[in-house]
Amino acid sequence: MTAPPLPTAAPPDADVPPDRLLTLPDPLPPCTRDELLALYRQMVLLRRVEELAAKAYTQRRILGFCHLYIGQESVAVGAAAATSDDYWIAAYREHGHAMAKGVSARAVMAELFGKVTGCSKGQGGSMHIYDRDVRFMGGHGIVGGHVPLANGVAWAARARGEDRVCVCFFGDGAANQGPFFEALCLAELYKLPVVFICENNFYAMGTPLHRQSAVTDMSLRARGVGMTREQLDGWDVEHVRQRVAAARRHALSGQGPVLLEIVTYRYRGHSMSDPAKYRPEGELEARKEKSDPLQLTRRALAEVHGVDAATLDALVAEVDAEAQDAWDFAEQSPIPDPTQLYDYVYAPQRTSMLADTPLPSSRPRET
Amino acid sequence: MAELFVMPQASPTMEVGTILSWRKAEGAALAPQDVLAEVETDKAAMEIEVFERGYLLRILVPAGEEVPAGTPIAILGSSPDEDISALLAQVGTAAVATPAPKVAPAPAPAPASAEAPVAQPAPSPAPPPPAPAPPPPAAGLVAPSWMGRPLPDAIMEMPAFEPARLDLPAATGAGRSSPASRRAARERGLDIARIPGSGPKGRVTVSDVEGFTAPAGPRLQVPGPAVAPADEQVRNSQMRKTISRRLLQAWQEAPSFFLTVTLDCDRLVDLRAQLKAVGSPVSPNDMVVKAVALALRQVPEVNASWGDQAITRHGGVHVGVAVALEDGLITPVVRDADRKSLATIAAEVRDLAGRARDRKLQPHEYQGSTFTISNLGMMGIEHFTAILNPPEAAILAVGALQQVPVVREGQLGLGWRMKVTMTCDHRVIDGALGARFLEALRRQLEQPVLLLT
Amino acid sequence: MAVLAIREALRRALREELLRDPSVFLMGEEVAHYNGAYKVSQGLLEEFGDRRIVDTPISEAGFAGLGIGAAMAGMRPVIEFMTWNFSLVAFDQVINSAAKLYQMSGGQYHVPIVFRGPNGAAENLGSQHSTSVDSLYAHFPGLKVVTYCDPHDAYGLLKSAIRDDNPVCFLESELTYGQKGEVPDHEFLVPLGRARVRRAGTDLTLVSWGKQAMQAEAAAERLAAEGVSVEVIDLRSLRPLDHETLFSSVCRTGRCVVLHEGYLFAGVGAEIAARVQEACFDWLQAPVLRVTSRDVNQPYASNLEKLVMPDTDRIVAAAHRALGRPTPAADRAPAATGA
Repeated sequence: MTAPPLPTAAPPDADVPPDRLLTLPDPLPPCTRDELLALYRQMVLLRRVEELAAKAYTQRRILGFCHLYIGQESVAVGAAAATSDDYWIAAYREHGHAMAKGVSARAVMAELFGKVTGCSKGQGGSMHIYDRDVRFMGGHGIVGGHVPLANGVAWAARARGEDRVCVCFFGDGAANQGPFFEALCLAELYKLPVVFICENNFYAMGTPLHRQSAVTDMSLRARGVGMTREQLDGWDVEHVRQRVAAARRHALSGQGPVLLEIVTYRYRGHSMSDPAKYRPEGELEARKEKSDPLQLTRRALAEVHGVDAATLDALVAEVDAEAQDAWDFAEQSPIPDPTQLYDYVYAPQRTSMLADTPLPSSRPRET
Repeated sequence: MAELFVMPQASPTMEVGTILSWRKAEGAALAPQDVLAEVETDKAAMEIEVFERGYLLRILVPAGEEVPAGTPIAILGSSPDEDISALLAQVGTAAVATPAPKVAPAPAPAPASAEAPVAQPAPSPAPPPPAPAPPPPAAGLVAPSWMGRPLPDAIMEMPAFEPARLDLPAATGAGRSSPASRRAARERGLDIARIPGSGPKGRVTVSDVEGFTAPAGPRLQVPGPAVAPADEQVRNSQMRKTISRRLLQAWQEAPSFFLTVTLDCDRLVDLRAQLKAVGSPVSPNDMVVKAVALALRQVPEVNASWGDQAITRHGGVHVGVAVALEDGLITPVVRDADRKSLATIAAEVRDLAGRARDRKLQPHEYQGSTFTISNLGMMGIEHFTAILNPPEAAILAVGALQQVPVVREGQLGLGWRMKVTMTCDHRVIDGALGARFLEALRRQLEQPVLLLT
Repeated sequence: MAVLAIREALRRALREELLRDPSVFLMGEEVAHYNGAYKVSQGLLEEFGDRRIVDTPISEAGFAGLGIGAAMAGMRPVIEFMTWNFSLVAFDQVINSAAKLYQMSGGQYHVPIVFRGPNGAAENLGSQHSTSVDSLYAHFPGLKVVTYCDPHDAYGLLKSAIRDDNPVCFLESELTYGQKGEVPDHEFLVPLGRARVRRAGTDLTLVSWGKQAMQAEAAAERLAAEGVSVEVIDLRSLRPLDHETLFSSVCRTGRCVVLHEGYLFAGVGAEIAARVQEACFDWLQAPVLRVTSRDVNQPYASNLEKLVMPDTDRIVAAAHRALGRPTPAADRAPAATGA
């Protein structure tokens, strides 16, 4: 009897897992004028709604915690352009993601105002925005805690034979959390169709990136589990759209998930009560000057597509009106009906417990 | 259109803010996210921004001043030359000092609100079909509800429990009372059942007990003499009614006479001490039970009942032992007591009496006695007569076991004595027969070693 | 009627539900190729394949979260914790996600998932493998928590748990997987939230659940020999709780002793005692007493471990106290904790 080969941690003849970079080229044709205008409009809307959210917060119309997405608009809007029919799951600071995915500004604003017309019926608030109709699955408040859920959503989609991925958004802070690592391991092990998007905005709450992680290229987190990765700048909404589309294609091909680290920047503090004094003098201004996603896209529209300023200003005015309409809608909506206080704890049984089963003994009985 | 700009609520805990500096001058043009001023709050110095395009028309609070959140600090407008006199007047009168418009009151909730919980079903969030109706709550339990709507059964709010709808025994005692009030009553020697309760569902509270002992104390300064508590009707329990009927029958129908003897119990006391020393404790009453049983075996004519056609002489010797309850009495039966050892009788009496007090006796355990013993000795009664327990022909009333002066062989000394009185139904037992029975009983109890055979 | 071991009853329930509903899958450490740490899932991989019987790495937060996401997206996962002790690294997943998603989403996403595995002490497993988690999970709205003490209920409850549209924590026991009992051959469900009166009695209500319910029966047997008639209630479900059975029994007997494996302080017994005194105040003849594990972390040595766990002597002593009887010296517990 011959002894089986003994397992070793790194057999000399085995490949060290290669750094699997996302090599797929941009899969989509470049944006047309109208497509890019639509992306621009969406980014302006996200920013304007967030500005109004800040205003409402200072007036105590929005309460509790409120984390704004201003500065990062190109990430959610670019990703949405590539995955509009897929599942999305995000953590807080998700007002922008929700709107990018198709939740109306009215439903988001009403949720922030705690009104029954909000997308989560006033049960969720800023951190818990959900919309089943557009496959937007939250809205989770524990940093990194939602990342494992993305695997399950993808598992279900694959089990049903759907041609959909789950796009999971989280920040550089979440990439230090245990469940994030577990989720990466499982996703790669099961080759799940997930696109993990780490929005690296350089600050986890008030702590800068270099003081919370020894490795500041967060996409490298993928290497240890053998996952395909890419780090990209997120300032350009068109670039985000292309790379997310490539990642989606990779994930659906059965070759496993992708970790995208999209470098971005948040203009405001972690939440409304954070004045963000920890940033070096001039950093914010320099970022705004150099790489504001809205300005970059506006310039591209003008220079590449020849859109005139009047058209763009009209678009902005239209978005202002839409955002103001969302505010007015939220303001005028009723607060939740107190008789419904207990309605959202347990789901009512949707299917009969005693429905037929394919077993020979058929109908079960209660005993 | 011009509007007031208020000191923002920068954090949930912020109450006041101090304006450190204005970053824009009156007349300056503004764009969203422009910093208007720097403000110091309870947490930090913060830049406060505007979120609208427009102009800073007027600064209302100069740098260096502290104002509550919500106070107007500036007037903003959409054009540089708007008329702001109305706003200035408004601020001049009230708003400067007042922490102004918190949030405008939210509109009232939709239809079927809390105020009208009954008829209108509130619009529910249309759960996908088909949600089977929850099973109706079983009798006795009122499932928790909220504003008239039943809650899912896994909601763990405390349900209301209405035992009236169940087939349950009545609450302990004659009425409801708390443990504390029962203790208070016990300490004052009061019968809790006689105290009217003022608590929920008529529960007797401690203050009811206290009030009952001093219904109109001087501290209350009631004029005139203290008033005795009013008469009170205590409903007859079933047990009370049964006692009344049976004893009245015995009293009216059975011509009775009474025979009393004093028993010398010195040996009995010795024997009891010896038994206790070897770990078999028995009470004097247990010994009386055994002695009565043996005496009945020896004088079986006493173990009998009157009938119009014939007197029944019972084959078995079943000795009833009267046990006092809170609101009556009951006589559990030691069956075939003549054939049981003293230890067995002791254990049985203890068990029966305990369960009698807990109302846990089965009918066969308190029916069918042929002779009854009523013992008030442990309550200090020296001697008494008992009323027959029909249809029995005799009952023995046992007094206290007492140490008394006695004369033995011309010497005065101490001795243990006990008086027993036998009530006899003259239709069955004549005087001489009764005396014969008591003689047999005396032999047993004065030579108690016989009880051990 | 077949006689099955509990592991066989659980396996039968799992197999039937896997056959009935293609959205059901079982996931956990060593459930597939190894056939389950306690052999509950033996043979299922062969029948259903590795997309439905799924081995995971040692990664509780990861696979518990995966299950929750899958449930949100329409599957019915059964997540096996090798022991509930390991669920504590997934506590955030169960509490902050599974229990709260239906509410946070305003009723848009429900989470039909079962978390199952052995709970409480087995023997000599030491401090970190002997925790009873009942009260931790029963605390939270949004979850259901159930447990069984015999193969009949193990089968019927697991099937109901899998079919339930809400997250269910299903508590098993290492020590009883081999315990046998009759299970009817026909398919049946035991509804969640209904207690079972395992023994009728008149003097005292002894409330328990899980493997302690068997211990409760043993104690009742011993008390019967003394002439005390004990009603033994197996709650089977801690959330929802069968108040009806509990309250009407206590009102009839006037006395209540709660027996459980979790700790005395802030344990489920505290909640039951509070509810019983509130509802049954006027029927109680004695304070509600609790017999629980002693307030220490589980030691390894056998003699110490035995002292920690509730045992028949302590149950009998508590019953004596409730009945106002003196406890023979031999029955008295070495320390006065709980009973």
